Amino acid sequence: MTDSQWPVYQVFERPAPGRPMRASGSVHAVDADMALQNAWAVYGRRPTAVGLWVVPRDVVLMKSREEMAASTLSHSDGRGQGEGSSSSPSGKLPEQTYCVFRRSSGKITYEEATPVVATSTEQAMARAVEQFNGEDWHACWVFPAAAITSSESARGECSFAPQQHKWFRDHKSFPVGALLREAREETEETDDD
Amino acid sequence: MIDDRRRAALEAKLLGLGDDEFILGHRNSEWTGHGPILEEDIAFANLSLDELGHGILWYRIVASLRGKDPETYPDKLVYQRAARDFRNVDVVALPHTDWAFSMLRQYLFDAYESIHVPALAASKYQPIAEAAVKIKQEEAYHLYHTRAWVQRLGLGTDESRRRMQTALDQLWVPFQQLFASGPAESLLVEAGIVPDLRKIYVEWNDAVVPFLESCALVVPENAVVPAMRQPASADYMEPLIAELQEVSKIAPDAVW
Repeated sequence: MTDSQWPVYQVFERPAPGRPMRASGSVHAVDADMALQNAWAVYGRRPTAVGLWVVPRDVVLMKSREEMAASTLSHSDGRGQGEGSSSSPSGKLPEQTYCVFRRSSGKITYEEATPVVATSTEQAMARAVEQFNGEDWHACWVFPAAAITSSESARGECSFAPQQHKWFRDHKSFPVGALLREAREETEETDDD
Repeated sequence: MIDDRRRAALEAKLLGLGDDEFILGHRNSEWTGHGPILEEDIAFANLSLDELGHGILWYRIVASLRGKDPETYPDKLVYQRAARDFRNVDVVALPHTDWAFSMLRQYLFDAYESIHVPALAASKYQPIAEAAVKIKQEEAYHLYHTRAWVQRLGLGTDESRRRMQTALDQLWVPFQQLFASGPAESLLVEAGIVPDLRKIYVEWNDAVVPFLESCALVVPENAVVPAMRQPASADYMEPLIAELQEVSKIAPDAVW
């Protein structure tokens, strides 16, 4: 038997048209196409997302503020990783756009921030952090925009549209809360006896 | 437009449509918690839920025809009907043997629905047309999903291809049952209420045979569409319905 652990893809969703993307979670898949399908099955079917991206996890650089601070210290020769790139010899490493996702302190989700242009993921990370310019941030992800497989590009016959038409019952339709309260009150009454 | 003879034929047709979807959804739901990976487990469970939901859409029309409440009557049809009164064909009730079997059956069914449902959406009987429009929205994704799996398994490893071929050999002949007409169905076809299944069959065959062959599978040649639609055998339905109705038998008045 071969390794059954399939690669992991990070999943991002657009909560409404024109809104920034935010991280939803991750899925396992053998390739990006299956990842998008799985992402839609796992994160997209409830009417919350109008668009989905999947990105292989191994191209996403993930750093916390502490980790960045530690790595800056280790480069204490005065040349931060993000510096000097604009003066780097042209033609060596092509510049490309990197997507930036930021998690603010006290928040649980990563939200899309302004993308940066860089020649490497590390440089993109440094530039992203620079761009936060002291603003609140707790952790940051960067990855090349070219690594995105998006439901928002031409997908032919397959619709990844939100399931607005479904008559599914959301959790509010199930009177679990009321039943629990009822049960609790009954228990309390019994306790009082 | 609906006289008594047509009404009887229409009820039989709608029960057949509903039961095919519902029983397939139920069989597939048996994979819940047993899928090959968590993501596919969820995806396939969602597909199963869709099929159960489609069954209910057809049951609601049966309810209206019988003057019953479309909200509560579908539950009665599912939980209070004897196994022998279900009108689905064998192929949707066959117990699954492995993942390849369930995935291939779902693919063949999705391919059938992708042709059949748009034709139903053109029905001159408004409730059928409306239900078909709702179902159609979900079928594009179903077909996309199951095609991808048939392709991966057919063109995957020796083992996955062997399992797919075994599944095809098991499913191909019984699957033809879905294209057999029910009692007095020609009355409905003449009235433009349902499409002629012979046409649906030709289109389905033209779509699935080249696709299966492109997945390195050999399509059996010995398939014939039966002259008349037959309800599924009690051998499959009795145990399936016993399990499906187990809880409702213990607590018939339970509300959820």
